Amino acid sequence: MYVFKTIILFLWLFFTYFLQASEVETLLNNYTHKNDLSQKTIDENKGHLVLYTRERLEKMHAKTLKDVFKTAPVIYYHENRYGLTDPLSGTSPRPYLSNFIRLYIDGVEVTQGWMGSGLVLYGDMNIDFVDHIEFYYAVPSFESAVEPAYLTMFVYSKNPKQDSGGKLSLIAGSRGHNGQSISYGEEKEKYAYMLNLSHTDAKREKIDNGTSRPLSRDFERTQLFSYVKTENQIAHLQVMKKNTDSLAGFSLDATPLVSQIDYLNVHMDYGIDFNEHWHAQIAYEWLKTDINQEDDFPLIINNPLSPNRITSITKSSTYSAELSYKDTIGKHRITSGIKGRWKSLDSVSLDGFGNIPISFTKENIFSLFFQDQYALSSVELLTFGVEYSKLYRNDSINDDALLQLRLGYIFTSESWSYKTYLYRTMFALDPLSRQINTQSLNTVPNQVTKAFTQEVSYTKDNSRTRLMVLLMQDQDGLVQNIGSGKTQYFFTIFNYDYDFDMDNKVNLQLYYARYKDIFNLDKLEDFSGYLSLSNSYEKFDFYNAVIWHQNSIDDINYFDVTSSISWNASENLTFTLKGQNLLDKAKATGLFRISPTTGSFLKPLSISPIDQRVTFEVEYTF
Amino acid sequence: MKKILVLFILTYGQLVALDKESTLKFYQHIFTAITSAHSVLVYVEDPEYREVFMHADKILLTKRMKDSDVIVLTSKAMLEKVLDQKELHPQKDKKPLLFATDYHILKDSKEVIGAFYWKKGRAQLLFVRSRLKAYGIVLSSEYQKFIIDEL
Repeated sequence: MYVFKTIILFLWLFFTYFLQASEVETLLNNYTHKNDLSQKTIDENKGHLVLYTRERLEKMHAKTLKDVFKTAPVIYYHENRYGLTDPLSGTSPRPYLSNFIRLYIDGVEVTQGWMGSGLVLYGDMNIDFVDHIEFYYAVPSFESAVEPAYLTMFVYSKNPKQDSGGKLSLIAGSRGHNGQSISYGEEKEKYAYMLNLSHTDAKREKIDNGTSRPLSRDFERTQLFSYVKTENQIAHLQVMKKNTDSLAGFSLDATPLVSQIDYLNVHMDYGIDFNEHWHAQIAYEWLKTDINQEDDFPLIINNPLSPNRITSITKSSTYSAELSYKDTIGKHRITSGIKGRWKSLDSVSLDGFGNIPISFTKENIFSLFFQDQYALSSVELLTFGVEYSKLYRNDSINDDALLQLRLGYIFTSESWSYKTYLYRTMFALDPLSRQINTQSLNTVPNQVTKAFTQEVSYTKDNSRTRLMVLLMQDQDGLVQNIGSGKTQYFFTIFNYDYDFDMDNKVNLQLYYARYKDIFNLDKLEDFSGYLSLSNSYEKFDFYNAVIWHQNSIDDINYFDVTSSISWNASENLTFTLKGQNLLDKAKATGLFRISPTTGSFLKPLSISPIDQRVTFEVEYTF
Repeated sequence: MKKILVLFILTYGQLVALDKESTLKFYQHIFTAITSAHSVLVYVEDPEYREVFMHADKILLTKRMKDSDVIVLTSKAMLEKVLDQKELHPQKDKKPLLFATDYHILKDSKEVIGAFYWKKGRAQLLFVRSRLKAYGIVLSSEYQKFIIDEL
């Protein structure tokens, strides 16, 4: 008992001594907290938010969007059989199923045109240019969304007002993995600009497929992010060249002789605020996909000249435009606008054939939306939004009409916050999936998702507690059981964040979900947890985190342990040693294989999208 | 109606760059410490800071640099402008003091005594000992951990 009391007394003295802050430290802490949040583009009315602040991203030492995405609940980071970011693909051989996760950079959507959401290429992009990231469940606002979403990710770039000057980052890691990144931003009298150029030579874990050629998913990526902005205008230019070893690729039994896909993507956009009410935006996207696949047996996609081999170049482009108006009239805050998106499959060139004629090459979307926020009182808001979209396709393929509705109530007081929403969202099958499966060229029912969601949070002093509960139902779901009418699911997320002081913080996240009729399963239960500790002492920063997953498919517990230690040698120079998936037990899923000779299922390959990797990084600011 | 507007601002995602209350409290604390004055005359050109300081009780905004106790430098262009003027009109009593909101400005000129800036998502306060000494500024013990010998 005496020993116990001594320990308690020692701990009390330790914490009171080390955690005692002076007045200036308290003010600094308060300033950091308040201004860090107010710098965000957070729109509490947008819905249920998972926020990664700049400070948190820095503590996590997140270098790619994947580093962040893997900690988010509900929809986990996952890669498909081509080694591309594709959280909704499950085990499907289809090229891309995550069209319902939309990605925005500085409020402008990044798409891959015919392939759908920009997540396919940008899901593991370098985020050295990023200030903060917001994840919203469902469509957070019709103001920015052209197409419907389950999950919307907003990535916001650094602002030279806070991040002027340059930064050079050099990384070397396991298996020869290496990356280089250089950024520069400056605020001039009339304009500001920012530029980030990065190169990643990703050397990833190979997957044993029982042959002398293990599956590879290495890639080499060069990425440019840049913008120039004035008080009321902004223009972005992004270029990504990504040459990939495409894992199993088009091989039915995941034993390809050659599996490579190279991508070249260009994104440009321009936005202008004419005045406080009117805003216009245009964006252009171009994607070139260079496919080179070969197998002993016929490939998933058949080449009439040579069933075992395909070499093709595909080009597609997308134009988007929108005009919106917002105003505050009495207790109403209204926003309305029109949007258009024109997707085009420009050409498909097949080795030996040259450009081949394709009949289905256009999908155009036109939308009209209206949103209103009505202030019931000084602490209560009622929100309502409606969007009607019409999708037109050429080659006599059915057009679609989508109606989205959103109704919400928000209560906010100093400590308490409560939100509840009713959603009705409709999704259409993406053009690439239609093209690959010719049956899908005919009428495919639109998925109708209905949701009732609630969130309550309590903030006091240094802690924040939140509970989120979402009930959803997909009618005619695009990822549902074959022959089943609807998928029903419920999920809940619990968060607890506590700041011991400015230098010592803990974050806890628990997640549970229960699905009925999904991915050809009658029932699926899913659990995950995320616990992170970030600490600073003198010139050292420490980050330790564990992500835990389990589901009822195999009841296996998966753990992804990440640790990093940074030494801030000077104001300009930082050295970081980081290890991810240290136990090599990160969540893995089965890559399904089919025997090309018998047509029967082979034993799936267990693959984790998270490599076990140790990296050493040098950061120099100038 | 004012409260309702605040609610819209809080919930509508306006890009509010500076939180008024915490910003004011912090800058007032710093400026009164470096000038040893109860109320401080401040010159700043950045409209965001002017808007915030306008509501201060211990900070009075001036329209001319030479009337101020402290000049807040928010850009390199501003630093160059101030240094040009200092060369033209050297101040015997070394006032106004120069304080920056960017680390690079602090690094670029030895005339700047300190800076309050963002680094890796956290606000940082930094003073340079020799520069404080040159201006005869003695800060209380609570500031000691924010003073470095040299950059």
